[in-house]
Amino acid sequence: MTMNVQLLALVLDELIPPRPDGLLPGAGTLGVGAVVEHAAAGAPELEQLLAHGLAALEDVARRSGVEGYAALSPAARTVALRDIDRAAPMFVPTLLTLACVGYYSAEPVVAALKGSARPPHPLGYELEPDEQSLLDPVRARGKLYREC
Amino acid sequence: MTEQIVDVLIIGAGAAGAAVAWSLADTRMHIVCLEQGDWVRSDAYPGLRSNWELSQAGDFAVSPNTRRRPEDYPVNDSGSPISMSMFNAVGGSTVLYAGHFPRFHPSDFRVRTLDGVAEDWPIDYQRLEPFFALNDRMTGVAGVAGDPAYPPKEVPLPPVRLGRPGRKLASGFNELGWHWWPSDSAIVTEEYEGRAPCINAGTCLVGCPQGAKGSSDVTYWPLAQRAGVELRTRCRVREITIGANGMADGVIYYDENGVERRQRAEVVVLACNGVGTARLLLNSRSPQFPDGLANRSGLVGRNLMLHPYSATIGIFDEPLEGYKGPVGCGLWSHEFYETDPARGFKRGFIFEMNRSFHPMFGALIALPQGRLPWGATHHEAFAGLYDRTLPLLGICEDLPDPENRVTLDEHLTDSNGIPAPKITYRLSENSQRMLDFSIARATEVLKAAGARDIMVESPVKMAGWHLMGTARMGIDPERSVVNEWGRCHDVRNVFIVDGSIFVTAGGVNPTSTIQALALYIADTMKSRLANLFD
Repeated sequence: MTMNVQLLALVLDELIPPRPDGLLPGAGTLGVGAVVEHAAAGAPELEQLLAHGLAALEDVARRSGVEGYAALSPAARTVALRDIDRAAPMFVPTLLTLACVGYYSAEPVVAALKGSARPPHPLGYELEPDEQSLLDPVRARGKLYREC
Repeated sequence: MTEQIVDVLIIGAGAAGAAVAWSLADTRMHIVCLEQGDWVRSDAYPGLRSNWELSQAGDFAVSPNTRRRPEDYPVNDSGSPISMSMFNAVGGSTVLYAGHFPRFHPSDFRVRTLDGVAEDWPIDYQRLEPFFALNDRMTGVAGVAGDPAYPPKEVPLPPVRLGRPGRKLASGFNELGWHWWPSDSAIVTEEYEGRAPCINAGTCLVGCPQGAKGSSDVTYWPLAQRAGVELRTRCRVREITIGANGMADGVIYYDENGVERRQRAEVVVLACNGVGTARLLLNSRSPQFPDGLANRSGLVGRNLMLHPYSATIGIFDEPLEGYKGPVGCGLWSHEFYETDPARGFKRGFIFEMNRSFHPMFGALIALPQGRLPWGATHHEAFAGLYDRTLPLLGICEDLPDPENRVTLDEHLTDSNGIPAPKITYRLSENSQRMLDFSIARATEVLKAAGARDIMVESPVKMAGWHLMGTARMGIDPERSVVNEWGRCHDVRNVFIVDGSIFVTAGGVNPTSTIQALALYIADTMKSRLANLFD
């Protein structure tokens, strides 16, 4: 059984939806599906877990009388995903973890959170100097180590 | 087949192998080091890319089982609540370490005498002190002299700056009247021996393209190579071989093309970490040593110690700018390091401040806590956590237990077909009590520092960095694997210099002590060259 990548993108958008302020798309739209596929490619058990979970979602949708998950209303998609989360407890947490890996390391998300997408190197960051007087109470206590 | 005989063959180019190679180089002996990993090119470090965090789940992950690089060997750690972490490269795990660089305390070498637990070491702090100091200078350690938690010592460089998280936490410690101090950090804060200073990029755990972090590929190795040590990378040792006289006569290894080769040697030095060294000894079976080389005591692989970590994470209302600065270096507290019978456990721990999590890791920490739901409320929940967390780690002393051990897996092998290590480890009641106590105290200090909420992970799953005790040192050959200067009791031309020879674990990060010990052993070898095998 292989993963349906279109369905995967829809589910990822459900797990991490677009940010309400419109500054960031959902995880599926952002392309996080590629990260999930990459992770699953080297791990057959993971691939099966995800493929079975996605197939089960399609089944839930069809039982409600529509063609598949994509044909459900937004509210019905959420309900279907919650049903699967109860029926197959590993699927949603695993996919959410992978979604977070891909989403929160992606350049647009980092840029939105930090105000810049520049890599940490080579510019780094400035830190202001510390007041050495912070240590005065510790110095005042005296020796702490054990003689032996 | 190479039949050249080298004077000293070092296996492993990490923290210990690098230090011993550099120290022995001034003898002008023919020294070769075999390392299964490769150099990490400075332009390969993830910190140069904006999506650098993704590499923590991939080719720069701390677990070899996740990383799965060709040079990695798998570890069956399914029998442990703590997963093994290591890196196979020139520089070894120091390439990915935080650079938090405390020394062992004097009391760590006398735990039987002082607290009635485990064993005393056959050496003491005073014996190692000159090598601690030498290693601090070689590594480029930053900090503040005068820490009352230690006997007087020099600190070569000014400290890493505390930043907002450190200042908040320091105020919490001061409010409670508890010890804290800027951490000794293996991070150069000024130009030092040709190395550029730290720029507070915060990517230490995936390597430092700046070269400011004191990983041994940038500290010892350039000097060792300049002094004539030959370093062969992508060479994986399968076994140490024994001659008719019962002495080691070399090794069999696979080169980068997978070709089996032999290297003969007068002296073999193991520096493969507390899992890798035990694995190699156990894989080196012969009629003289049917249970593994140097294992007549039966202790090779036993007494594995790991340092259980608690992570108590304060959540603050205001941004902490915790992504600025070395992630694991800021301040430490040794307030609870020594035994206090009222606490219900023996020995103790340090606190190590971490800075706020970066976006990806911050999300991954929050998920198992149930703090980051999927769906409509996801972004709001993340906004309440991002750059508002301050983790305080409790690094707990792990007492030796012979049932905690490294053995060989019956089925799992590396890419050369060499049996992989299997970890059997359980948390002791002493460790569990210590973890619980550390969480309670961390909660107190984080709240004193202004935290509005607390998250806890304990023991931290991916914290099996500190691999110790599996070939411990001692005077008695029945109760130890190596003598008081690292020579195997059973094979007098085999030396071990890594964390596997630790008798006890202390409650601090071990790299400073591993390297001081390696320098001490090398120094002792040099002083005994005329009668090294007597």
